[in-house]
Order: sequence, then structure tokens, then C-alpha cells
Amino acid sequence: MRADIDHIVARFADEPAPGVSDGARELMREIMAGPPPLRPARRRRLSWKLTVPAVGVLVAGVLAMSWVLPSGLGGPAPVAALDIRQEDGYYVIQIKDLYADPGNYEAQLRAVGLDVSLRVLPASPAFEGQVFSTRPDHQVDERIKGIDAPGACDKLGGCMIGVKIPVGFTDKVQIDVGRPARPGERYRSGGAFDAKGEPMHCVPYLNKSLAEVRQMLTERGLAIGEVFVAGVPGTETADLSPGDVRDSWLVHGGYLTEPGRASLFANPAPMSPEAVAKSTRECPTS
Amino acid sequence: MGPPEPEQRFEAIYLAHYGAIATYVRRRTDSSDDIADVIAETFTTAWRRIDDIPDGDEARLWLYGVARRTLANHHRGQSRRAGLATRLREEAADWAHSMPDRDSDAAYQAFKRLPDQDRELLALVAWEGLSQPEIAKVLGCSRGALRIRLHRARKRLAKQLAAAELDLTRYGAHAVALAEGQS
Repeated sequence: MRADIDHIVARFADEPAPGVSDGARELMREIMAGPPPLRPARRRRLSWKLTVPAVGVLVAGVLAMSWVLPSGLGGPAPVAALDIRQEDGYYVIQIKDLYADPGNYEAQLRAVGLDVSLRVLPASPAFEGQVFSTRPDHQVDERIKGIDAPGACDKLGGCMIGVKIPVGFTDKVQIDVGRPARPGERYRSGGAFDAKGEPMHCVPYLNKSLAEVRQMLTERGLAIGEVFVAGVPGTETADLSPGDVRDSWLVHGGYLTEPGRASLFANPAPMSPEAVAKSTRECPTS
Repeated sequence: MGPPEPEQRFEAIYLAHYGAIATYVRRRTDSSDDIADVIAETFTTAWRRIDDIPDGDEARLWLYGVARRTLANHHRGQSRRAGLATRLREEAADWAHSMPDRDSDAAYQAFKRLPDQDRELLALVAWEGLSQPEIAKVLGCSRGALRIRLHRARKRLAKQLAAAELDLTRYGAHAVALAEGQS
């Protein structure tokens, strides 16, 4: 009975939004790099420690021991995790131990009167060294500045070697800093794998077949993790599932999930020439 | 093995439902900046409350509920997520070009004149394709109340269409009957 009215209303619907686009993937990474889920602190910390794989502990070597061994049990004396200096009205903070227990950072920051939570997150290459400061309302705090490494920077996330915070800064703030991931460790911060500073930057892979892109990735030491159905504006992708993916599908994008591994977006239909042009606008034309 | 890491669960939920939520938001917002902001706000809430999200397809209904409340609290042009969703904002600007010109459509004008609640009910049926029990979950009301509200919303639209002197027969016999109160 009601079908007629419902059909009238259905006519007014805008087209579906495109599927998981580059911008959507970037947003997903940004959200996960932001303040963590609201959950009991104990559980969160436990899960964080469990994510450290055995290989990673070996790579991190002695530095990691300072937090693996509880202090007071005869382990090595903890190395200062941060170097904090006062300079021109700022605290200049550099991270000495990228793999330290977050509690060590906070203890040092509190000692100089800063209510700052510092997280050092595994990040894909373009975001290693990125400094991202947010207040409890999720707004970016502009008063906290990154310190750029000298020279030109070829990474989307910037090339920072430290953070400057005004002396007397009393607000609560969270600072996330990207660090290299250990083997097998999933990136918590990252973006498209063709962003500046990522391995596929300016590699002409868009609209190439999955088989061809697999070859390009192999040459760069990357294996394919998952392949998702890419959204194509103006077309309905709801009837395609990852199980339908074929080697002949065309690649629309991808991102690194952990060292040596990338997930891709592909579709039987190509990306529009405009979308390709937009994605490659920073690259020299061949 | 314990429960999945929050990152893995969020990624799975995001990739599965992003399209549905982006479409939901797009269909209810005119400005591309607002679209990107509301999508960002909705999924940030999902990330922060990852432990509250139900499993399976219920997750999508939960997300619709969050998106609905986010839209209701979002003031046009208000940009709260500085530094977030920059690329999505650029992409959304392109979507705007493909929006149909509906302003000259008298039936659409009649639809626009309905109370917000009615429009949302009818849209959840016709745009999102949700069943009545699903809509009751999104809105947090009983199925019985939902059935009555939906019937009234359809009836009000039929009356508006009749008042606009639209030839309801173009839309089918049932719309005529509904407008005349026979249903």
C-alpha cells in the first residue's frame, strides 16, 4: 500500500556517496591517530604492551628493557626518555627513547609542570616524526610547535625532530608523535601510500591491473594484504564484495598497514581521468 | 586470543559502513564542508565509543543513530574538526556538482514542507531502505509507536502533494487513496 509514497520520496535521494575513497581512508587514519577510545585505562595499557611482537623487542634491544623490567627489580637504571631544555620562553622537547613507556614521558613532562600526554605511535614512512597536538575537545593546538629538521622535507607529515611548548603552558593536551614501526607492528598513523614520503609516491600505478601493481609493490619490498572494493562516483558498488576481486581489476589506491605490507582499493571500472590527475598533481608529467 | 584490538575492530566497522554513513550524511546536508565535518564527527564518536558499538549489521544502525544526532547538533558552516578530513572535504566539494536540481520539483517542495521528524522517517524507509524494526532501533522508539508515526508521516505527505495540486494519479492509486483519507 505505502509503496507509492515511498517511491515518490525515493526520487529525492541524492546519489550514494562514493565508497571508501582516499579522503575517507585518510580520515580513518586521522581518527585512530587521535585521542584513544574511552575505555578503562588498565585494559588499554595491557593491550598496548601485548602489541609489541617478540621480534620488535629484539630490535629495540636494551632500550626496551627499561620498561619491560619494572623498576626496583635490579634492572638497568631507566634512561631519560625525553630531553627537555628551556630556550627563549619555550620548553624544547626531544624524544631520546622512541620506545619508552608512556609513563616515563609523562613523569618527565609533569616534572616541568606540563599536563601533556605524549604518545609515540608506529607510523608509515611519511608520518615518522609527525607531531600532532590536540586538546581534549579534539581541536589542534597551534601553540605547540614542531621543530623541523634542517634542510628540505620530502614527507607529507613533516620532518620534525622535537616539540616546542611555551613555558607556563598549563592546558591539558595530547601530543602524538610518529615513529618507525617495528617488523609486524601495525601502523597507527599513516595515509595513502602514494603520499609524499611514501613508497608509491609518483609511481604510475593508478588504473593499472592488480597483477601489475603487485609486481610494482614486490619490487619495493611490499606484499599485498587486503584488497577492498574501491568506490567509483556515480556507480553502485554495493553488489561487489572483496571476494569478487580479480587480478584484472584496476587499482585506485592503497595504504601501508605495517612494514612491508599494503592494502589496496580496486574496482573493475577505472578511476576517472580527473581523479587520476588530481591524485598525481604533485608528480612530474612524463 | 582475546577480543580484537580496537584498531582492528574500528577499521573493520569503518570500511564496512563508511559508504552507508557517508551517503546518509550526504543526503541530508547541502554544504560539502558540513558533509565532511559530520562524517568525521560521527566516526570520531564511533572510535571513542568503540566498546559500545554492537556487532554485525546492528553496528550500521548504531552509526545511523550517531550520524542523526550529530547532524541535529551540527550548525551549518560550523567547522569543528580543524585539521581533520581535509582531503575528504576536497572530495565532497566535487560531489556537490552532481546533486540534482530538485527545487523546481513541486513534489520535492511538498516533502520539504513536512516536519523534520516526518521527513526523516520517510527517508529512512525510502533512502536507506530500512525496515520498521530497524528504524525503531535507529530512533530508539518502540515498534508500535514507529508504525503509527510512519503511517501519519505518509499521510501528511500525501496531503501536501494533494494541496500542491499535483496529479497524484501520476504517483499511483494508493497515494490518491491516502490523501483522501481512505487508508
